[in-house]
Amino acid sequence: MASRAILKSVVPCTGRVSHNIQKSSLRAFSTVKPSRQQAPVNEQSTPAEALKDLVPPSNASLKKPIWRAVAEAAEPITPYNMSIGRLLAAGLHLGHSTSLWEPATLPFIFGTREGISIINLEHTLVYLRRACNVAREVAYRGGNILFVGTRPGFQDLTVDAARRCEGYHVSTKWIPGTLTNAHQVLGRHATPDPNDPGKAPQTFKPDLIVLLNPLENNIALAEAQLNTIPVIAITDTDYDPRRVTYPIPANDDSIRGVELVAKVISTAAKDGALRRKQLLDKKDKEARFTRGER
Amino acid sequence: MSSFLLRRGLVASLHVTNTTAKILTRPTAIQTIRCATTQSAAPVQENSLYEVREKPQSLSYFTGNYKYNDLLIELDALHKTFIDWQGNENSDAIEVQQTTSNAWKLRDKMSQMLEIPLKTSQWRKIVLHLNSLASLPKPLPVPVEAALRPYRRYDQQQQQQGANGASPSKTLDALGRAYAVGRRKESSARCWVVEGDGKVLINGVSMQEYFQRPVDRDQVQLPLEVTELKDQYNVWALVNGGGSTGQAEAIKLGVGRALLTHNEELKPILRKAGCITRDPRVVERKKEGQRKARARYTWVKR
Repeated sequence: MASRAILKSVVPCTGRVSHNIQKSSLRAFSTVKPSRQQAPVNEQSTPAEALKDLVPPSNASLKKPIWRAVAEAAEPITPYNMSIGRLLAAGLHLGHSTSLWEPATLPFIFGTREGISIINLEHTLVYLRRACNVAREVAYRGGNILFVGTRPGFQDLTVDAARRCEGYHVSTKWIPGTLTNAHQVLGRHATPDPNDPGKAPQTFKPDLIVLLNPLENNIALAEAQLNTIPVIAITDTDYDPRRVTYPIPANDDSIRGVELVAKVISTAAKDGALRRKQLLDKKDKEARFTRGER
Repeated sequence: MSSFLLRRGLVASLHVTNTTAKILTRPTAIQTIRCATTQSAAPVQENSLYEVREKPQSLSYFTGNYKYNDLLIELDALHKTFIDWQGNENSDAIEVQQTTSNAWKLRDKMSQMLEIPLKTSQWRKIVLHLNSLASLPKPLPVPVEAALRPYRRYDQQQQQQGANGASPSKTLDALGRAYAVGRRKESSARCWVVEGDGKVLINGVSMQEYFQRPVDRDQVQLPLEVTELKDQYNVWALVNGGGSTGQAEAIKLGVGRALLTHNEELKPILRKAGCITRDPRVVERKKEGQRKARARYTWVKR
């Protein structure tokens, strides 16, 4: 794979290397000298032996595959412990072919290698953290967050992200007119008001849209702009980041990468929603307290 | 890199609604507000933060067809839960045979049951999910079976077949006669075939009198000749409509079907002889602008 050649020569890992790296070739980036250079060959010749320290201790029978156990036993994916190493492991630095690039992405490109542009993960991290802040604050204020991921491989992760933060998802086709023609598109299947059957059913709009593949969802973007809804989007090197409100310059092709971004943003939103619940509970308690005093 | 950040004004955190950053305590060096909303001149209210507004109930609300999408997600999640299901190995072979063909409700009934208007493509997608769930190793897990039950289609015929193991409609009557109907062109023949010694009566008249042409007589005799049962069965046929050839072939079809009721194993022989298939050819209609069905009027150059 071309990516392995690229990984060997791109940005040396400045952050600490987390243990959820799944490809053994990334051992080259570890700050610890790899043991195969020092130890004799016959001792740690097989990759299985070298990875032994990564495997969690199994006192019970493993019900899930080892790679999943490793990934989940390692640090959870939250916006508070993101590092460039984890973004690299997910393959978020791999842009598109240099012949297809969008010149407006120049500030985010680290360089080119093997005919593709490499995205500077330092910027990715910054923009990702900003997007997380936005999501958190929107959720804190009780906003609706809509995750849109319409590629065939993105369906599960979009639904998971929405479910995690009590948001909404569009994982199959975005119907044109969802926001601009809400009365017809969304009101069609709405239950009519029991008291007043003639009244038009109430429709809702999201307060924040997280687009996981903006390249295929021009219509969704246009509708959001017409309705003044901010958009967070994963913008690759062939997409103009100025078209969305909060771009995240990263690779939109790798499912693992997009899963990471979606998980991080939804975790931040979940955090905001939790804080909102605490705030409302506190206010409720105060109100009951003052009423009780009187 | 820090200068880059300052230049780009990326240090601000953002809000979407009318509330300001008063509630936040994070200090910022440069406050550049980059958002899609325009700045409102109205003063901010504290109460708007605590406002609890109505939200859509379903996760798939913005897909436009939330019930259908929720259903697909539910079936998918169920499949994922039991993806490693290993059924018991000692299931009977008969059970396996019966459950290989899943009869799911058809589109109309399924729409009615789910209260979701379904298009054919949507129905097909649901059936795909149901099939993947039903193809888990038997016996199916209890939640899966419970989820699949409302979708199954129970035909009356299927139930009878399951009970008897054979189609009940075709049997000999009390006098040992097999009855069948045959049709060709505009003729229809009702045939009774009973064990006997080889007599054939058509409309009360013997075959030699009714059919003058040998061709027609051969057609009538064909099913019995091919199976070499000519002297073992009597045929009584009532035929009307059409002409001689049509009537003869109608009787042929009727006798062939009646013979099958007597003995199922004759089917391949009769099929090869052409006594089972109803000949669908009828007179083609005349079209306007043409002299007959196919013949056109004489072509005139000018």
